Amino acid sequence: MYIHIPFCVKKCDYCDFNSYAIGSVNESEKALCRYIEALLEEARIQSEAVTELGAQVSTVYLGGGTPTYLPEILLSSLLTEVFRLFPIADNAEITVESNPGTATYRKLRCLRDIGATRLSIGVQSLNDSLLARLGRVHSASDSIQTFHLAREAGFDNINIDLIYAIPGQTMDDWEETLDSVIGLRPEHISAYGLMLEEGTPLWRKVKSGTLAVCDEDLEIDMYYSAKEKLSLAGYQHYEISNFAMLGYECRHNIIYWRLEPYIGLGAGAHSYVKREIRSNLAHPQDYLRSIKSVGSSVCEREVFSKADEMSTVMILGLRMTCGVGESEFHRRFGISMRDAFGEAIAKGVANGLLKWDGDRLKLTRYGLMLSNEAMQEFL
Amino acid sequence: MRSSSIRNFCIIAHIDHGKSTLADRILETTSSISGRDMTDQVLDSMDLERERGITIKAKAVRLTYKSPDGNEYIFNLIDTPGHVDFGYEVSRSLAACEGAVLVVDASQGIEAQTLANLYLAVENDLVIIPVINKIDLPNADPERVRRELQDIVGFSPDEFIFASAKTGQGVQEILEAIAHRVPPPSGDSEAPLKALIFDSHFDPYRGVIAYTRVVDGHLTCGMRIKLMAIDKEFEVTELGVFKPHMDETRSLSAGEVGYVAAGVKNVQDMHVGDTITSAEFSADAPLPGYRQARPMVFCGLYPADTCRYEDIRDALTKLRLNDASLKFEPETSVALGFGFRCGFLGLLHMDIIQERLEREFDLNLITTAPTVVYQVEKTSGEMVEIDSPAKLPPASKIQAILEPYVQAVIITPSDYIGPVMELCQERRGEYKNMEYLSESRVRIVYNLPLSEILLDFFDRLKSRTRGYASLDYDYIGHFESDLVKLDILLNDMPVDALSCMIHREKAQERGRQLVEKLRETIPRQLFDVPIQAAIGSQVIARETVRAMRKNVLQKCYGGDVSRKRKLLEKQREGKRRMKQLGNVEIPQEAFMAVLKVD
Repeated sequence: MYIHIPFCVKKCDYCDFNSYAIGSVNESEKALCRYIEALLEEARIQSEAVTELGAQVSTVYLGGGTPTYLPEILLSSLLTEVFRLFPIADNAEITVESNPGTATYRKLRCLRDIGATRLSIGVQSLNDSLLARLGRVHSASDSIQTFHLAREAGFDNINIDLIYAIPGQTMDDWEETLDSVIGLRPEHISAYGLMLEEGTPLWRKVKSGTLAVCDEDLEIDMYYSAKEKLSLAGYQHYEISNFAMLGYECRHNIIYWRLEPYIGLGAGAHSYVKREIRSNLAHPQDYLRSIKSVGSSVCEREVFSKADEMSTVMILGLRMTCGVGESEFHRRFGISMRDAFGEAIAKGVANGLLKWDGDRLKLTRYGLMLSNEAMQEFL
Repeated sequence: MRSSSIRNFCIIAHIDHGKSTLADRILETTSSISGRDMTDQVLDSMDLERERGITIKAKAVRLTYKSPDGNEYIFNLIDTPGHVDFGYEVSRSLAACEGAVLVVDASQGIEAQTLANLYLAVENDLVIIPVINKIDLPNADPERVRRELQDIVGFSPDEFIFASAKTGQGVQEILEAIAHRVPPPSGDSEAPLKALIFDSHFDPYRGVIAYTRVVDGHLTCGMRIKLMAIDKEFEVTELGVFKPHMDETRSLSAGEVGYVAAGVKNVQDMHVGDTITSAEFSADAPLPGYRQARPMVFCGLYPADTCRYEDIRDALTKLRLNDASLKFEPETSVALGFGFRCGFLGLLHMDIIQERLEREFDLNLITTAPTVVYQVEKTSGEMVEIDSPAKLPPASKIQAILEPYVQAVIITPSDYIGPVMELCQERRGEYKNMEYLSESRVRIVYNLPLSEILLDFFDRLKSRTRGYASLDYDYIGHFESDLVKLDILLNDMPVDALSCMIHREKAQERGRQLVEKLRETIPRQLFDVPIQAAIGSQVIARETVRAMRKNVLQKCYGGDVSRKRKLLEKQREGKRRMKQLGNVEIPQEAFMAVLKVD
């Protein structure tokens, strides 16, 4: 289950997510309250459907925006109510996203006490000038402090998000950040190459020539350097952009990559149940209004055919370094992967993007950064 | 009908200076069309013509005008195409007239191309009625434009009519001027028949409909006629005039303008400029000025989707029904598969045909760079014409290559003499002469290889003269040049559709530009793609499209799986539109890159 909190202190310069700086939507604490109320309203309605399915919720991911921007009281009432409404599995993974500077010890402690099992921290870089370039509102030392506070609060499963290929970033900058982060020994590290999204302040700066984009070759070198350093430090590279100590892979995201059912609550959240993708209205105010008036905020539904589902399973599954297993594919769809996608597989293998490893089809090391090329063929 | 009441005239105007609006106003005033049938700009009926503001095919309308002097006049308004590609057609339309209404925008003044057509009209002895239009616009300066025109053409001040086709002001005066200043046709209706064909179109029921001006004698329904240039006989099945719909009559006599159908199945038999005479009492000589329209520009047209080859053939066949100057024959390219080599009068004609194929027939085309027709003298003494670089005989068998030259006439404000001459020199031009038309306007004449004109010449001319220069050109013959065939190799494989003929001295530079342009156009593939330009086995330029190293969606979580699928679908769609050459994927634009080098 995914729960979206679309609020931040300030929108970062590269961000095109569905999140709003308080002030820009003229939100006050009261408005946050109203949003949580609507969320819970949606949760109540959804919980009935989930109960009907007879399924258990194995992971909860509270993402944003910045969930830890919410006051303690709202956070705790939200999670408590969600836990009460849904059949949560005993060993469920409960992740909360946070940004340095928004998570006090009290808040973290409270989250841990309610039942959060995993904390994800948006560190992005440990270089203050690069943080400023990204328009982040925190410093490197804020990040380190938040990490330690989380440990003190009892989080024994922490993810750190990092960004590379920031305009002006050198290989040394990147490796320095990597080394420091490895030094903290988080259980999980996500490393993303910066995407310049149209319309963002950063994009405008690049477009106007104020900033120069990171050279593509350097970006690729940074990627493989992270792969190498993190492997040496004991992190498994288990998805294109994700690394984890053994047993600490993010179970929530693996559900996505296996295209297993999920439900999303909140503005702009998506659900995938019984081959149907449902999307909620993205803007918080629209979301609020529709939940209040009709009890649903679904603005788009798309039903996948079996063929769509098969190709999506390949596209998403190949993101993981363990790839997609022929036997599990056969079990799920009653057809062999080779029969369904013979041509796409042959082409990918011939191009050196894909390889067979026993029963499993995987991206090659070279194919990781060219995965779209291989994945297109499955459509 | 008494020919003394007939007035045959055309309108000469620049795009946007109000030709169509004026024609509409004239039609309205003479009540040829009821208000209900009146759509704006009747004469330009094809969508494409309206959008581009140019008239592709000439049309003719017959109007009845009751003058305040108590007489009734028959007006034949003959519309003319307005572009350099159709220069010959323009000249034939003008030859069907005794007068021309010159329309000039009161704020813009006369444009170079209008001036070029005006000179053509003056050469054809037409009486010119200068009209200064759009005088109702706030920035109109009719006096300045009048002075300018007086200066250039030597009109007397009282010849001018100030008008606004939009409001109708001056239209009456224009009609009076046509009635009283344009002379009636001077033909002899008792002499043997001579009728000028100035246009034609194909009608599925009646066959080819020729638009004609009877000069001498008369045409009657049922008579046997002879087309003098092709020496073929037909029987007239229908005669009529355009009002503007086709209105049948029994006969057309000297001075009249109308149409004739004679069961001709092929527009290629009804040549513009040909003379219709009586099979029985043939005229001694045809009307002067006839020339067989010959395609000057050739290019390959290929379906982007190879299975649509037959559709292109059908579409070209249909277009040729109405367009005698369009030529095509099947052609096979190693790179592009099955397609057609097509011949056109010029670049605009080529553009129009391409656009009509894509728009009216919903075809997605790959067009290869246009080329002229070369004459190759083989060592055996045999002479061959080649309309595609692929047809060039092996170098060892070539004695000489001749390329078509044109005489180019450029009219430009005198401020731009330097840049214009520079451009002509760069394009291997040979200076012929220059004369001042007025203090501020010159007419520059150069002999130029036609191939140099195909390559962006007009655009360059416009940009160097801020759009103030006009260009007309006329084929003068084939002359020997030191030409070579420049081949392009992608991934070490020659791509026939990218070969071009080029002057030896320019080959090096052009080769460099071409490979550079292709490097920019061809997207990165999973491997390095070398691009080479070569003359024979000698590589003269080389670039490499570096292998793609990254195409990845870094962040992919929940949620919106379908958005991610769409992104991949879009990428894949882009590739589908490309041509697969060996294992290299080439976008369609690459085949036109040959045209767009700096």
